[in-house]
Amino acid sequence: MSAAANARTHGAQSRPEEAAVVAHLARILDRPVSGLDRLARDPQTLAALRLADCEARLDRALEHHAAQFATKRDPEADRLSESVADLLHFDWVEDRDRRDAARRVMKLDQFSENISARRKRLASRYLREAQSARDRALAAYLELNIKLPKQK
Amino acid sequence: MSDAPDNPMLGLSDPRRFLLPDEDVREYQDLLQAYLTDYGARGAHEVRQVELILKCDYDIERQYRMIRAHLDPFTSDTSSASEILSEFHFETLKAAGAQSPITTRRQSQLPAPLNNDPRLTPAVAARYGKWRDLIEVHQRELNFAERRRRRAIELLFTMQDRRRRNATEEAVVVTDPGAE
Repeated sequence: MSAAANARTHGAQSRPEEAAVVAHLARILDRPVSGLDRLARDPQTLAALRLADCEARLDRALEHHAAQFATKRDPEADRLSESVADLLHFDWVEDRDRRDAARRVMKLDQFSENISARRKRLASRYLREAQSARDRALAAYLELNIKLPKQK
Repeated sequence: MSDAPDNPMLGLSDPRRFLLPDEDVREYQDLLQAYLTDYGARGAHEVRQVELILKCDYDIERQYRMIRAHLDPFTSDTSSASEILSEFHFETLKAAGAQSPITTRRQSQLPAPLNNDPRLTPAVAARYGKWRDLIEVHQRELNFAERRRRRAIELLFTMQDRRRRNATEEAVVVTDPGAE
């Protein structure tokens, strides 16, 4: 599976939680959501459904963005670095392997920072995409549901 | 659009999922109430839009805070790899009774933070050089957050304009013929 497909299936771009979508839909429709709302096919309700989905995705993108910018390093790379560093302390490890372990620890250190920076850039892109999709869905919903006065 | 619900926070996202550990939930909620009042938000869509504006402001403040932290010359900056290898080398060469270099470093007295001291400029510049790539990421985020904020405010004003037009009976939008 490609990285993009993986993000769509498991990560920040996967389908949002049902409860979050329902909460947004209730707010948009200004009433409790019924099962019939999810089956509706009129343009107004479909626009509301689309907007609710985009709002839930935007919330998740904002949370993901905040979480990525809170860290400077990748925790998994750091854990791997600590595991490799254990080799430095065992008596039965040969000097050549110790030197190799030390090199790998330094490389993992840099790798941890690079991965964290890459995740920040990805989180930023996901947020921009989620924001654009939501703004378009909102504009479409307002167009269908709120009639403007005549223009002269 | 319907009037604002009794609880304007109804349907909004849980702030604890968005805020960082160094940000206060109560402060966020108080600020949100103040924003709702200042922007005159009415109806679920306008309330939501004000929430997004506040989140942009939080993001902007966060990026500034992180840039300040990277440039702070008093922040401990040793990487985990340096600490691991330093500790390993010390153990290899350890003399009886000697202290760990990491322990020694932690016990050393850091100078008290100074204010407006030009002697710190070289230290700040050195930190900028070391963390330049990461600082550039934060500066880019700052620009994105400010653009998002402007767009969010623009959308809010558009919605409020629609609401006011719809509230006026037989409202007709008159455009300036000279502008066409």
